[in-house]
Amino acid sequence: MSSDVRRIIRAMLSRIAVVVVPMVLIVMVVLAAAPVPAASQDTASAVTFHKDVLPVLQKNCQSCHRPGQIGPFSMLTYKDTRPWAKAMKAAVVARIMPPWFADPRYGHFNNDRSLSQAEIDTIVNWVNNGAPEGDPAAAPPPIEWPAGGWQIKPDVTMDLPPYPVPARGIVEWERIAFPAPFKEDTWVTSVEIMPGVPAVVHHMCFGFQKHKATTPYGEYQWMEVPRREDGTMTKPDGTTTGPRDGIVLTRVAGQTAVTRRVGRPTVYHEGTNEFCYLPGLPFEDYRPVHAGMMVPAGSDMIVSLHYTATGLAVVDKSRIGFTVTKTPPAKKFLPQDGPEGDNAPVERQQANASLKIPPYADNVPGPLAEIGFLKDVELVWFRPHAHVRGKTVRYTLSYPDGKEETLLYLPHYNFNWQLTYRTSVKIPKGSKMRVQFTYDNSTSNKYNPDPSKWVYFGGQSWEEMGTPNMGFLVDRDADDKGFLAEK
Amino acid sequence: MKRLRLVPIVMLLFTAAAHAEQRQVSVTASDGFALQGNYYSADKGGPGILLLHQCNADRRIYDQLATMLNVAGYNVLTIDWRGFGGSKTGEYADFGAQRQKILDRMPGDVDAALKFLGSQPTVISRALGVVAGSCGVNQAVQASRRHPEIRTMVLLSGSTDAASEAHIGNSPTLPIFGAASEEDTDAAAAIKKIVGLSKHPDSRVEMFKDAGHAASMFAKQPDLEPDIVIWFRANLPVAGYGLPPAIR
Repeated sequence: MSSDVRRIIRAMLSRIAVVVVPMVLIVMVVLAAAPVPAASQDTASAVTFHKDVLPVLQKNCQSCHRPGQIGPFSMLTYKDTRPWAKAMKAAVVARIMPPWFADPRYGHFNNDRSLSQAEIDTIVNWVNNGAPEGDPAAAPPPIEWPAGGWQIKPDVTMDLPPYPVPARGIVEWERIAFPAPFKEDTWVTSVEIMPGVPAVVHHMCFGFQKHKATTPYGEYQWMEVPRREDGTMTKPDGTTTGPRDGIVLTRVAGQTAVTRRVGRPTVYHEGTNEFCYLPGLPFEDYRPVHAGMMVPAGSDMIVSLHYTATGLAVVDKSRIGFTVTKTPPAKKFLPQDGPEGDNAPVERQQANASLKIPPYADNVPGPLAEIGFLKDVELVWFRPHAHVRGKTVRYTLSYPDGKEETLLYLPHYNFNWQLTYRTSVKIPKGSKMRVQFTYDNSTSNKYNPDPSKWVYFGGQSWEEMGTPNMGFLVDRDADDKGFLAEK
Repeated sequence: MKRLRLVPIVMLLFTAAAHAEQRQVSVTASDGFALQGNYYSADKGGPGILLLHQCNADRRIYDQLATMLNVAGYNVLTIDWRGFGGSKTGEYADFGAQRQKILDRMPGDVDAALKFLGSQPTVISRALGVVAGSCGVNQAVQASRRHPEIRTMVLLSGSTDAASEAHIGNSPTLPIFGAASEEDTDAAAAIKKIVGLSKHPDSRVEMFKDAGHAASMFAKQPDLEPDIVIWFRANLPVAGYGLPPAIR
């Protein structure tokens, strides 16, 4: 190590001699000769890390750019951040970072992480002027991030059983039931799923429901899906993810033996999932909108798991965290996610079943989803979901008076960043939301695993879907049934 | 834009080293020769990146880049070619004297290194990347012909043969980041040509001035190493979400 250090120091001294000294001379000459506008020069040169840049990073970047999170480097301190200055400038100027995909012409989102032009200018000026550190005393206080890698500070945590993900092969969607980790009626105010090995987790979702005597605990259940060697279904019918008559496979957590029977799964969530982990979406927090989810005592928690084999056999140990409150919040959060199985609107399932994407096609509209609103409701988030061929998605609301409004448009859907777009839109009874996904099965889609294949609806990432997840708020004591109709 | 200074880079190295698990390894080639290398293991499962040095340096020229890639979530392997660094031994003690013999052995040595890398417990063996400088460039491109699991390459100041150039032109899903210095005339022209042949929309070339040759450019272009890390994060996802189905 010591010889390496000496080598680096020698290299630095060499750089100082070869690069910095001539650069200083050049800069001095340029400054003496060039008529730089005084005001802009003063403004730019005054920008320092501690005073100007760090507040931007704290607000928009550090949640991911800190040790243990997904960002490739830390932005907590000057010494962590400084070597990446040029890359940061390029990323913010191109608006690649922070990741945010909503077309700014539509909608208003209170979790918009994109930088303002002033914030971009701050970073650009800082970089252009040599990325100076400035006075540490001018820095804002550091943010106290939650311990243990959490984004929230959970009051209640639970560990999912270790799941051995094979190196190869197909892992179909599985479900497993547990008693909910609450002994009494509980208002949940935020949720986070922390995957143990993010590389293999396509999704993890869960919902709560009243315990049924037929629901076994700690037993994975999944449906057999007939597939060819290349992974495509032998008979795409739009029902790969839901409960139906067929071959049910089961495995007790912690064991390897798989049993097979004809019938229907007994582990299934009859409602909509309350929360999902998806790539780019680690947590949901209902506290900013004064809302929560009521989990009655004695509820079961039905967890839907979808692992993807990556060529590396791993054991995933995922965790779930909750914040809870004893004070009932003013509002109740109602999720609406994709339909699955018999309890979903039949029309949507048929629409998914008709999804067919030709080889090499670069702009294929999927089946249009229509959601009717049967009562007044407040829409608070969107979380569109497609797979790696997803290209765009547009949510258009038709009001009862005939007026139409695009509430969200993602011109570049990205499977790696399945963000929640938080908003507040009062939707009157009688309105209709139309949700249109498009798909890119061409070679220009760098995430496309095989443009030569026809692509149909399915739960695997090389298959496709278009799920217009939305979330709503209603008064705490409102009857939450019958708000939506889907087609 | 003014050039960025390098002052914090040593501090970064120390900081990053605290997170990395690095060990010296020996990669056995098909003829039994032990190629010496360093392996940097990622905490969780992730892609692997092989770093191939130029023929006027050894694997230590990648010490800092390897650490940065490792901190960013990658498993990283550096090796010394025969006749260099720790692999300068026995009949391969003098690269100049054994040049052709060593060059002839390089494809097999790359295969051995990729096999070693892909067999490590935290490496997703179907998601590999390569960084190569100068004489390593030809080996990297040729390796990508033999190993479809190589999903992206960073090529510094080097050239390849006509068959490999054709391979680049026929591989629209293989993004390539090339870099060279203008005064390094032949290498710069070759890198421009290679990247120009790529049909991948994200492939790009970066040309510097008076920056030197291959990984030696890091000394004068302190932003190049961070750029390489960012390139891999965009084109070889650590989470694997963009990977083809594992069944393929």
